[in-house]
Amino acid sequence: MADLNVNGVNIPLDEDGFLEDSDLWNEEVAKALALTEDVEELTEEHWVLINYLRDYYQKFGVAPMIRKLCKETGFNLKKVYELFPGGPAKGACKVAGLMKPTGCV
Amino acid sequence: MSDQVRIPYVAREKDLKDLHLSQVAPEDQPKTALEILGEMLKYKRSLKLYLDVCTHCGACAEQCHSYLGTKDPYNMPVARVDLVRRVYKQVFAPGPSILKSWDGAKAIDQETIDLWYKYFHQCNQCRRCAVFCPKGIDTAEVTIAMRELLAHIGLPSRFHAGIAKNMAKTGNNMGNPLPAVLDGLEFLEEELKEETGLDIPIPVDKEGAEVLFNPSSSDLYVNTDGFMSVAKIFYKAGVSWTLSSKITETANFGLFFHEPTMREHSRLLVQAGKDLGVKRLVAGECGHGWRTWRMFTETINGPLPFPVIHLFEEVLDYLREGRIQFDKSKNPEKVTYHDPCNYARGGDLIQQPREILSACVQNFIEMTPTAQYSFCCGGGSGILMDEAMEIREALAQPKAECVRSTGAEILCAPCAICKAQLPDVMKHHKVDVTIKGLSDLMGRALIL
Amino acid sequence: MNILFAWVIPYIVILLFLGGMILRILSWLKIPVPFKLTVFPCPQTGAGVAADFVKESVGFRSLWRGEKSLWFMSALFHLSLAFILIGHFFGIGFLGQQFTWLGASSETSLNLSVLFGTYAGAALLLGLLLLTIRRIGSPTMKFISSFADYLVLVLLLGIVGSGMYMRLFHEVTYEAVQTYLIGLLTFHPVPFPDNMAFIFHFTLVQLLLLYFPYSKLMHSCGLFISRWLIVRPHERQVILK
Repeated sequence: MADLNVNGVNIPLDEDGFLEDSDLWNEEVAKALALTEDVEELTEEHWVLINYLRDYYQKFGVAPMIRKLCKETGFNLKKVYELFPGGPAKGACKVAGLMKPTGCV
Repeated sequence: MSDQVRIPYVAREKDLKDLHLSQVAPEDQPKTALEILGEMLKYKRSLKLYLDVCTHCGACAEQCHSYLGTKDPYNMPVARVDLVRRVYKQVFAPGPSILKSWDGAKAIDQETIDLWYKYFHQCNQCRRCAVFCPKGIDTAEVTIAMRELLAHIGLPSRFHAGIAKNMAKTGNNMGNPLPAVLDGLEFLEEELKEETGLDIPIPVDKEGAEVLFNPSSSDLYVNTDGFMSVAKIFYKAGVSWTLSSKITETANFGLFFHEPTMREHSRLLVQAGKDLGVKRLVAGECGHGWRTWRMFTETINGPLPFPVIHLFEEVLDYLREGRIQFDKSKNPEKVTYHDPCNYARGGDLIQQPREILSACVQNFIEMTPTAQYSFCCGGGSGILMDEAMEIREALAQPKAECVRSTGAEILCAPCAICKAQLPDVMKHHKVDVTIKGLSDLMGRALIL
Repeated sequence: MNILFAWVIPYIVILLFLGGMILRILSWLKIPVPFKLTVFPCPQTGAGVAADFVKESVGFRSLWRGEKSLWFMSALFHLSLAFILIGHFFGIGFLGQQFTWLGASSETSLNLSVLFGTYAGAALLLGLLLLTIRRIGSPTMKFISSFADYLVLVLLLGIVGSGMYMRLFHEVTYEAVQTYLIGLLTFHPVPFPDNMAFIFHFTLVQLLLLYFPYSKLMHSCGLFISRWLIVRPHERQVILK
């Protein structure tokens, strides 16, 4: 996947469109990533999810359990898919600049 | 399927370091590959035999979901193994050259290695071909050997290499560090309390517990309903159990592409059990994990200090003794059962899940074909890469038709890889079904 | 020329055939089996494994699970081949008198021997023709077939064809063949029977025997060794009640 260009800064992406370097994430990058996930505009609800993910990632270095994500943001799984069609792992985590969850998922 | 179908990404140099593997220069790959093949032929009887005894009868072709789904002739088990056989005949098979050239012998080249990579990542190691082959040729063994060979010339898939690296670093395939795991478990205990009103524990590193339970790490991330059910069952049966902080993973990815990883994983688990002084090890819902436990662990680590059994066998024990009861009416939907390849053909776990299902589900319908004749979900041997989605969808096509014919609302698939593969591919094939583990159904029906 | 083909070459062929086959089998048996590869469900005992071998080698059970047409062709071919081979041994060895043990008269025994042989030969030829048609008749079979696969069929067709030709059009007596073979076995070789079809038949058989140890025909022995890998019982450390 081609790299992002955000305000003149080159943000490298891996083949799946996830950030190569999570530290390069910021709100502008998030918006650019959202476009790659067919999310035209990031609403307040999107930001609740993104900020939760970002927060958890800073604390634990990994994406949160899906059930916990749903409980603590108040969004059920269906709502998460509505906000990010790629789903919590491939959609929301990507836009929040996390690494792609791997394993039997 | 088109020739341009996307195949799994190859590992990069940085992915290989932790596996003690390295990239071999392309011009050296054929020569190194031959050396490794020669070595393997000396210590794997199955490999040499299966290359020798095939009569090209083609009985396997119509039985392989990979060929049926992709329609690519190289995905016929006989043709897939022929990719190796032709090189084997050129170099290793006995006999005069002219006879061997009649037999399709071919010198190894870069194209052969590319074909090996492409097609040995389209075999799910499901072993269905072995059931229908008169000689009993188990193509899975050839695939395992060839993936190992590819790994040793620096060509494992990126997905597999990454997971092996995570396993080495954190003791689980997802790469979840221990604080994250513990945080998640604490949350689940709160959820259990909220749901049941009971203080159902999820112990970690409890020494002297009766059972060391070993789940798939995806049970602690996405299949949490199933994991919570297991906690409820142990609680109700009054069994003291524990997880190990060192290793929260039963899915042995090394089994299908890298033997040293497989051995280390198995050793870690047995060590964890020994350290905690448990009476037995109970393996959770994971196909490859189960096959490794059932068929490999005793050979690698034996004799074992404790028995290793599957969650279903443990639960059946409780059920038969009356320590737990199920209320079938809690599972009123039409349920069908998918035999994970590594449970049925690979793990001798055919009757046990059915006995549990008949106890906890109201409306159970068998699929056709079923049990040891069942089709693979298409994700077996870790073919779960996003980039290979087109391949995965093709591999799942025969299974999708089987599920569609049952008209079931719930597809019970008690294996972590099947749970990861089936939702996407069933949706692609427009089969309207919800995938649930057997633990999920047990948890729903359990009378607390 | 006659001496070379009738007296020298058969000894070389039989040595190479037996030696080659034994070496090939040993080449498999000397390699270890690092892990248990059982495909479940499997037999629980050694007797169960033996039963699996019989079901497979006589009943072609695995083929029965798949396409029934292939099962039919394969069973027809292999079982009539077995009949023919056993029939060669008894017919030539006992000059067609083997049924006198069951109370038949000498003439009846000879007639029965000829009759069984003819029908078995016809069945074998039919099976072979069906298998040949199957191999050349579809794109998938063409994709997986090599020259060697066709060669074996051609050799067998030649052998069975010439055998049937001898039976139906240009008979060679049991006595003539027995005399020749006993000559070989006692190292006092005699010339071939005066029958071109016989010489053709015998030569093709020798070519097949020469080719045998290096070909897929080793599946005749290898089958048991490979099946054992997947049907061997595997005992659990703990069997639950």
